[in-house]
Amino acid sequence: MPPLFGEVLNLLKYKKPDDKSFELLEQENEHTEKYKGGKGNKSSSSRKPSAIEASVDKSIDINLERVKKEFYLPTNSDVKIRRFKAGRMLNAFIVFIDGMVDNDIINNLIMRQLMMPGLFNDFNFNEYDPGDFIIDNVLSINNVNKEYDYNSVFEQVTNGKTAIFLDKCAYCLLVGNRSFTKRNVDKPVTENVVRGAQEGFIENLESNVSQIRRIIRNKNLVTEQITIGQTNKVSSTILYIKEVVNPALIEEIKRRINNIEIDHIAGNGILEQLIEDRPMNIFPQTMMTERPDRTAAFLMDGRAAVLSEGTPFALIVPITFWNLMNTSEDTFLKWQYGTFLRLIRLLGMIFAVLLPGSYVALTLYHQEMIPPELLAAIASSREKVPFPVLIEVLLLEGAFELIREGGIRVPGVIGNTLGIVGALILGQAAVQAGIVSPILVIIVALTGLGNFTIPNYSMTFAIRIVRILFITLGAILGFFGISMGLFIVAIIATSLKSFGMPYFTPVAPKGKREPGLIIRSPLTHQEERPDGLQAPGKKTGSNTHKWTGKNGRIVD
Amino acid sequence: MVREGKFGVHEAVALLVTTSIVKIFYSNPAVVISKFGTASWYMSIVTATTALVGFTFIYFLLKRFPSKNIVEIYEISFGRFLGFIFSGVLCLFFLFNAGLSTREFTEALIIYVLPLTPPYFIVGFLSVITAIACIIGLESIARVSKIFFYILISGLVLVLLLSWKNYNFRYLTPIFGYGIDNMIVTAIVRSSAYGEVIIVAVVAKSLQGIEHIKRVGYLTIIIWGEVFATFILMAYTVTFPYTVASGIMSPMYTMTTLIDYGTFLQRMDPLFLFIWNISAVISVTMLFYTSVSIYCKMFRIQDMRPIVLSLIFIFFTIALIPKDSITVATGYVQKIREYGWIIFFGCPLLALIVSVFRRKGTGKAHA
Repeated sequence: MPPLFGEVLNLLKYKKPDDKSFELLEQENEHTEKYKGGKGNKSSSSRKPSAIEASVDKSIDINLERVKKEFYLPTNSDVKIRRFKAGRMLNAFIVFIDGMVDNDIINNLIMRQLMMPGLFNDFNFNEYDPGDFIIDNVLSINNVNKEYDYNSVFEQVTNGKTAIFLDKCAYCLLVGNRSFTKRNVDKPVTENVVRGAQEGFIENLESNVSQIRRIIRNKNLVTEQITIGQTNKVSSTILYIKEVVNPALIEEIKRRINNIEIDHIAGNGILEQLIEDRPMNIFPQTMMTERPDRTAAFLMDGRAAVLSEGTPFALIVPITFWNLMNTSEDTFLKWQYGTFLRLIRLLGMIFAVLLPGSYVALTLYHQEMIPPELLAAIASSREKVPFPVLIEVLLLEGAFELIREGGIRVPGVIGNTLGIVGALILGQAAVQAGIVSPILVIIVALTGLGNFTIPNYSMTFAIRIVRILFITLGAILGFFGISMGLFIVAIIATSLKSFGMPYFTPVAPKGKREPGLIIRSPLTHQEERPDGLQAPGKKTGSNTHKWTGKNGRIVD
Repeated sequence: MVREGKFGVHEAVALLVTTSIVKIFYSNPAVVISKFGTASWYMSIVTATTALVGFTFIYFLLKRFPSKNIVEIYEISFGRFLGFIFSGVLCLFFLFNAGLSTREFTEALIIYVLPLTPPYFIVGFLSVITAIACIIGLESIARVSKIFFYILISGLVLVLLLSWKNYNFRYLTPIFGYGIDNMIVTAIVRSSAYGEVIIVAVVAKSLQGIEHIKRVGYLTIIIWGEVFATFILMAYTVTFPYTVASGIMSPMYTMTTLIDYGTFLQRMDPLFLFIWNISAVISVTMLFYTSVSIYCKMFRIQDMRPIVLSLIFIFFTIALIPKDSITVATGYVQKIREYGWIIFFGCPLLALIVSVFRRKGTGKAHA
């Protein structure tokens, strides 16, 4: 049954309200105490039920057969197995994936040292466990650990680690020598700022985590690893600051991620759709950012970020509507400039949502509201146009969307050129051909510009779709239709929650004043974390300049 | 019981003020001016003060039965059968109020904005919107009203300020209108203009405690009745001579069309139209939601959605019963204004008295 039809059908059925909806509420201290987290600390809830129950066997031959079978050898060409005798006395083999590991480490620090008999002079089977002896005396590598579970071994090997299997040992040693080609840290493409850092995330998870660590040099920053996707098993990391975040939020994130049963996840874009509160709703309920500084700022507020391997974006939760309308630039500039930018953006959003619909409503239903000179100009410009105003607007909007989509898909510089040339030529030609009126070209251009001011990519899509609704309502019932549309869109948006946090916090529901709204308050007034997050550590500090009086005012 | 979510004082006040304020955009001021003449503007102070007293009874009743809504209180006070009747009357009253309010709005819209649109189309459209909003829930309705409340208040203040040029304060005389005694008696009867405040008793569990309920009720009547109604009625009185004002279907809309500060700052109708439409739909939604909520509480129905879909058809039918705008404005709506106080304030007072005599509730009588 199609999901939308199912939703409609659900309206007619009587059922008791369920209690499954998650609400982000203030937590008791005991809850905070109970919560266990830490770097690399996989909580019990984060473990998925193992598909392969067996542990590593003591017999090296059985293990070798098992590895060959699981990795489809010899068909699989990039999985390498190398047999050898450790210290000329212990049968062993290593397994790794070519191209995902550092070969120098394998050649110089693993193979060479394991095959050097001198290093095993003190070894005695009765006194030492072979694995412990190798870790303590042979391998001069920092990242080595024992692993007993086959499932985890395969997961780690596919993730770029090297596994060392030893005879008579019911475990293997996993060496962290992951290394593969990656692009350098570059400027963020989708979130440019004039002032502020010019670094963006890349597709490498460790590099992204380290970028956050460089900004938040605090031991309470926790990076918790989690695996998503039943077949491709993408590594993801949940980042949060222990003392600041609401523990219920982290539990909820892990609960949602661990309950995703999907074969393949190609990045945070898919993850976003799988963990948002209301997948049927048009508005974005999580936020993607490719800026490490912005991610760090959200973490400092008490939010959490999810970074995934292969995605140069952090997924931020929970978010509000206001977060989606703000940029990093607002904070980097003086509060007056930041506020000005936000007001411009708000105007842009109003244009993007309402301008074409209002034009349709005005020209069809409310001509008396247009000043006479302007009315005459509109009437004369529409004189040669053969289409009704609704068709005219939809035609030009459609053309604009085509240019936009074409400009994005055409590679490189041609894309930009196509956008500008296409818009100029198409607009001019359409006016000359009498298909659209010149005033409508201005309206659609302003609408497009307004849409470009919206900083969140997902939000721009929501607004583009909602705009069509307003154009239609304006054509059917004029301003009355648009007002009703506004009401319905607003009520749908206010019913939203992002990980239990109402979408329009702190306006509705009312919370304490915070800097994330339209007016960006001075830094000296930003003393508390956002109210809706119900974070245990609400106070950020007094935020005053020590050289001034209270609230940053200069003492005479 | 029905889960309606939680909201705070700000949302509740915004919701109730918006629900109540729309009647000043329709024919109500014309009727008030025809009854009170130039004394209309301060008549609202008397009416609101009466409503404050009326709400005090509701407050005492709710205080006597902490964490109970009005439906439960009626059942406890009057017994299951009589309580059911009282709740049923309240439910029907809200349903009729919602339907007639919709029709009044529709007629005003047809007169001023959409003259060629048939009433059933506008009523039908509003019914769909109302049903969707009710299905989404009270919490969201309250939040939306909070967001639009700022725009509503700013827009109203702007219209009142921009109309300054058209004010003629000589229209305020004779200051006592048709006589002070007549004014006071009629004003007291018309306290039902603020009767929507009883909604706090219906959705009492959504507010956080009796102190919040008290604040919401008093703030609503003070903001809407003592402040806005007074200033808006005064603006009408000084803009139009009372003989003219009593014949205008929507004086507020007419006022906005008279604004003229040069070629490009004239006719504020588009601005007002948005405020008018959105506040009207919030009001209708809330009135309808209240009737659905009472119905569900009476029959202990936990899922409201099927009831919304059923009652919306009755709502649609009620809205189309009146023959024309005159029947709505001078007939049905005026009857609601004149006798509404019995249901809004009289029944809770009776329940309070009965509960005291029958020793129901906490026993800590405050009446």
